[in-house]
Amino acid sequence: MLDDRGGEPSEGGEGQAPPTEVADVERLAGRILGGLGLDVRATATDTEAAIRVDVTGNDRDYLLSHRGQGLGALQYLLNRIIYRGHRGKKIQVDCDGFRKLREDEIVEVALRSAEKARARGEECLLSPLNPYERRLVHLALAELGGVETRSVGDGFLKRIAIVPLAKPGAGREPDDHS
Amino acid sequence: MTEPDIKSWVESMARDLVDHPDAVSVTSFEDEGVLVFEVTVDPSEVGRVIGRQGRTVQAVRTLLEAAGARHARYYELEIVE
Repeated sequence: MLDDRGGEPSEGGEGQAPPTEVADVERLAGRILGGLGLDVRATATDTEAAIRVDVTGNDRDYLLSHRGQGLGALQYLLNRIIYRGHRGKKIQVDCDGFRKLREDEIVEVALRSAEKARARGEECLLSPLNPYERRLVHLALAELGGVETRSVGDGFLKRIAIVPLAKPGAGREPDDHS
Repeated sequence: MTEPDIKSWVESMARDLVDHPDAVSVTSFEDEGVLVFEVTVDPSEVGRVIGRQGRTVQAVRTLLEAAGARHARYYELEIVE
């Protein structure tokens, strides 16, 4: 999905987004959250990989329920409105490191499930994940080796099936795809 | 915090999403404790506010849900097709 990728910045190099863009993002995020009557504050900063929007304040928990759905919705709408279908530096919304914590947790669960799948020689299915989260899992498990991953289902949220690779004998080779 | 003007918020979100903001209008009514918003946009832009697989309208609904939890209200959003 176009809006979920970093894509090329609309102008200039990978390094910096135009300063007006960062200010626009911050203003728009502030307007969206303020208009909802939520006591939160949004601050946008330009980082190498993304325009990061950090949300803080008393009402932040309302955006964090259902595994951070509110943050995801805000992120989606910011990208959609700022870029209007054009490509640009990805706008990423976080709230006191919530997203990072969740990402770490997803990868950890995936790694544990993969170990189990490998040990039992049985396929294992993870909970539904968004494309970004699935990418994290595919990459982590490719590195782990010994299992294959594929996405199952339709739509934005899909599940990942972890399939153990049949390995005759006990020996485990280091992963050979680079 | 007093309950904000959610109707204006819905209107401004819809305007931000379309190319013809002048064609945006929002009506609201109360239905058994639920505040329902009906959004009308230029017919050519209905798909734009709904988004692929309904994702755009769903994101707006998710934020409305967060606001509803905060203000102890139920909000519903419909796009008039």
